[in-house]
Amino acid sequence: MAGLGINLIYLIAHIINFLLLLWLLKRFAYRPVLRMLEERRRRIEEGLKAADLAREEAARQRAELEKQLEEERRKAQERIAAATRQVEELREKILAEAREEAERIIAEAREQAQQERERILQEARRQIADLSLLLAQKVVGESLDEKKQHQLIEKFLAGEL
Amino acid sequence: MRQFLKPRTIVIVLAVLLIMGGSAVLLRVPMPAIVLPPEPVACIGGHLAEGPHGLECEGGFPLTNSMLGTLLADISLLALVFFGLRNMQLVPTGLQNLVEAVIEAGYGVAEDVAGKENAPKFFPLAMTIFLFVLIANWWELVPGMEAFGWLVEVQEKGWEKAPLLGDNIYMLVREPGHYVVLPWFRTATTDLNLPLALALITMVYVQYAGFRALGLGYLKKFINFSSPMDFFVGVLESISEVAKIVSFTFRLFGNIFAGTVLLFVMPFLIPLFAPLPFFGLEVFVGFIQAFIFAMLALSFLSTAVIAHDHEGH
Repeated sequence: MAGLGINLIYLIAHIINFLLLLWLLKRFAYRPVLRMLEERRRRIEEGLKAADLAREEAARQRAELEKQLEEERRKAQERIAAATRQVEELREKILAEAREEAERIIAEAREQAQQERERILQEARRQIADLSLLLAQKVVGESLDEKKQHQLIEKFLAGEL
Repeated sequence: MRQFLKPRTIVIVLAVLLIMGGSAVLLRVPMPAIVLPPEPVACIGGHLAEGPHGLECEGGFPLTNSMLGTLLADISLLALVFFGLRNMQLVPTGLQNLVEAVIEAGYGVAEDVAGKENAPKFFPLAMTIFLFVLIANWWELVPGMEAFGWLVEVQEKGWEKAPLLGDNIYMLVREPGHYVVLPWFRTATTDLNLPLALALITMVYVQYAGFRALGLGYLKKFINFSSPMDFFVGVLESISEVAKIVSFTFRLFGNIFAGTVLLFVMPFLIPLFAPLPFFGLEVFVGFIQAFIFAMLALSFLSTAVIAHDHEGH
């Protein structure tokens, strides 16, 4: 054994040295490094999870926005349609009113004309009566009293004579 | 082949051969004394004196050259860890990256071999063995590692000394003489005590882990009277536990010691260029031996905690 160099003191020295080294490395290298690796693994996992979540959230929000946009578009369309309809109605109404007004004016005019014609006719009749009376006086030479004359004319005009 | 035979290549090869041959003649490097036991180079609380086997420590704690080599390995390993992990960041850079990558890779291997639940228990021992043996082995490759030391007078197989600096500093020259260098530092793993210490720690821990996992049932592996066959297997198991210590010790020691001898002999024969491939080889051997030691420790540990019942018989 001595020829090989095996010596109890040296052996014990090496054992102590190694055990000390083992303790030091365990305490100051393996434990912190493994903890750090675990921490890093956890962080990366968390990060990935958060990224996934954010992506999902973004997609969800986007879908929601699109839905809102669609809704808005639909509402706007509706509003335009309603406005168009209203305008159409208004137009119809205005047109109808105008037509009515026109008809009314025409009717009025026609009535006025009718009245005027009646009035003129009346007037004409009276003048004709006066003239014919005058003519008759002249022709007959006698004068009926005015009242009787008018009665005659009235009768004549009424077609009774 | 045509490309290899270009004139330029031939000139380079010839020049290298010439330098190698010339260096073998001109740079005459003496062969270091190859000594198996570690030698005390200092003595804490006592003093060094000539003994029957060279220098010996009288009345104190001997500090051998392999212990100093061990300290070098310790310090370099701890320095690496210290500077790497001194200011740990969640986003690692530089040395922290290296240290973390090595430890993570080691933990991955430990998980593969020992399983998820046993890995945290066995990992520190295996990892420390790997790192420590690796660094200790690679100190072998540092030029001048075993070149400086005390000048010791011997009766035979020595070299002549020549003054180098001042009055007390000498160098050896390749002339037969009466001096050898007792190196201050020696690759730690070339001292049998270190592999033996590691093997003992490992095998003691293997038994401890076995008892802890299986209780007294662990003894059934060694002492089993249920059948003559099992009894015989138990005896063999007991012998194999001792044999494991021996094989652990000599595998590591033998490989690295042979490596250092190789790295002594090559410069002795041809100082330039020729040792280069062997340095490369030793980088590899140093790694492989550290890895094997740690892996075997892991696998012995993980087999020790598995119950040896009669299920398979």
